[in-house]
Amino acid sequence: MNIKYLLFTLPIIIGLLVIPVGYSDTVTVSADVQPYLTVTFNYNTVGFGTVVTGSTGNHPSPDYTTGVYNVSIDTNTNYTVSAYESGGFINNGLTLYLAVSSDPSIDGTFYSLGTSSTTIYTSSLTTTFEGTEYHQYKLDVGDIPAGSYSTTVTITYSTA
Amino acid sequence: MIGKPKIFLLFSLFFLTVIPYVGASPYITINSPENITYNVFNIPLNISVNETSNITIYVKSSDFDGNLTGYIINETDNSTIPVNYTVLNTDSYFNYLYVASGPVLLRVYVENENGSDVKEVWFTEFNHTEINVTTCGGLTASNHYYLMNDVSSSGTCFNIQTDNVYFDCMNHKISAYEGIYANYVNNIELWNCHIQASDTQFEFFHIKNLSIINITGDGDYSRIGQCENVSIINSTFYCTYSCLIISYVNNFTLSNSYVRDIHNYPLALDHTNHSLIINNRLVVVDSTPYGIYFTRDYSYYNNVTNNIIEGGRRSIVGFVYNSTFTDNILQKPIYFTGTYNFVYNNILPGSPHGNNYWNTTLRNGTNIVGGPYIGGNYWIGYSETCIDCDFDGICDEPYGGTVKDYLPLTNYTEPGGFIVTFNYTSVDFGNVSVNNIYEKYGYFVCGYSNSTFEVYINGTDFSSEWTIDNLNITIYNDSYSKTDTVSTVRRLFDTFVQGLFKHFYKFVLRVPLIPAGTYTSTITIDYVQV
Repeated sequence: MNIKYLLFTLPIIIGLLVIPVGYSDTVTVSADVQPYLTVTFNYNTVGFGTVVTGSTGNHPSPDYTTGVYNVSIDTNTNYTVSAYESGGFINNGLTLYLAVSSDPSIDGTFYSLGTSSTTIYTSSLTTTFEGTEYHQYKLDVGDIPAGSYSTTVTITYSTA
Repeated sequence: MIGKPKIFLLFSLFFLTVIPYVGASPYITINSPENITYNVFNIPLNISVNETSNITIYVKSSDFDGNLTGYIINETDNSTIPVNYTVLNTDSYFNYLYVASGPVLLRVYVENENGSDVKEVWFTEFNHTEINVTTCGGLTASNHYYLMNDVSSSGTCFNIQTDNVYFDCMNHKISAYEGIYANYVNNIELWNCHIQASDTQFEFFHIKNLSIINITGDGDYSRIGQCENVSIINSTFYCTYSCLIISYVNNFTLSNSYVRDIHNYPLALDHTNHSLIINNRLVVVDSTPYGIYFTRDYSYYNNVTNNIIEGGRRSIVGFVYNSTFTDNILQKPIYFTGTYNFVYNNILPGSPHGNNYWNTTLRNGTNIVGGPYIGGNYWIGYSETCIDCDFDGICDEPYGGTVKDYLPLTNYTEPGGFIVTFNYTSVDFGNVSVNNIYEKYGYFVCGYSNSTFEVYINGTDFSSEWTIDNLNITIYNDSYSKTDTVSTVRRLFDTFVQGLFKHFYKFVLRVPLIPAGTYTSTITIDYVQV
């Protein structure tokens, strides 16, 4: 190519290469999603009536049958459950059974209730939120002397 | 009977004639001095003008040798206006400090749209004998003295003992315990001396009209006290333990001088009023003293302008009131114990404080960093990065805490091409709850484009469960508003026309049912000229 021609066309070619002028900013948008824990109990009293010591059938509350749940838990964070009784049953004569909908492995786990609060369950939610859980409880009267007994069972749900 | 109606008609015409109001020509009065015989260079000129607004006032002199220095001091705000300068809407009262050389005819002009006025005053020199000096001693007669060689003394070298003394050292050196001393004399001029003092460079007390010009001083303690009309001009002082100590002086001028002090204050003023400290460079070597220290008793109506002050702990400190500080470059902050000072158009660090004024009324004029408006100060540490969306060289936000500079200066950029400034780099919603919606304001973008430009936005997901499309952005201003969802894909938000722009951003966040925790997304905002 003729050099003169090249020198003439080069500025035109460069002029056609319009490079956009731009400014860019990166903005960090952040938020702290707060934990919440909503627990709904669907009963508050349990009357055993007449029971037979040593029997495993002393669980009238609350209709311990599959599909009927006693507590629903709505949360977006891990939590713990603790329980104790006020001392109305001697010799730790009251046993609490717990079944958890999201974790079949602990279905039927039982805890002998004392007067000190004991952690009976710790949730293990993953980063994938698991929605509402359902807990089912059963109470059983153990081998204790004949008589009338009354106690208050306290079940507490707390964020971990 | 026939004539009466004619007389009546004439009276009627007289009373019905509408005489249009024509504003009066301004009238100037030189209150002082009258034509005088003088031998001092610092001549205060007091002028009154009958008009109080829309006048131009300027001063011209027959002394057009290039060394003319003179300043009108506006009594309203103590601002200093150079000679031949036009001032509008001023007060009617001025002081003028004139530095003359030889016989001088001074003309003062005032004019407005209705007319003008001019007044003159002659300054002439007094009769004298010229005497050559070769040794230290007393100057006892009203003459012109010329030092013909270097001289030395173990005590005070020269003692000026009478009025009207002109002493020119002819650039010779005076080596002494004390260089020059004078007390209770008037009209003294000191020229071209190099004073090397083991103790005191000079001491002048109870003097009216004292001019010290083109002096070099090595030593300490140049003391001037109980004086009136004192000027130190074109001089240099190197000191160790204290340099210029000015006490109880009315109308003190320090101009075009260099003062350097190692351990103490280059310039200390005590109970000194109506000073003009202009065009100087003051240097402190140690880290603790101050450049200008208004000590102990109160000093009023001083004017510190166009100086450079370096080093020390603070550039200007002290008991100073109703004074003006403009056009200075200060390496260290100011700290006033006094009040009602005007501080504007300086470059300085620190912050506004006290019952003082840190900006003047916004007006046209080239400021100290080259911007087109006079307003406040250029605050080192703030002015460099403040936002100036309207490209006027003034930060958009005031500077300071309780006391503010409402017009802080910034680096001026003339609008042109494509300039974009982003404000803020993070938007923090803080604590939020699931299943709620939150809004956040504060982020904005401003600038100028000389052609159409586009805005593109995209962002990263907060998490695998919380995608960025839960974030809406609204760009708005007085005449525009548009909302869109953010995507991980960079996409065009909108196209804008050329010109100045300011885009406010509103971020709207929808929080779904997600686990508790801290979530972050990075939003990328691109402004691209088409």
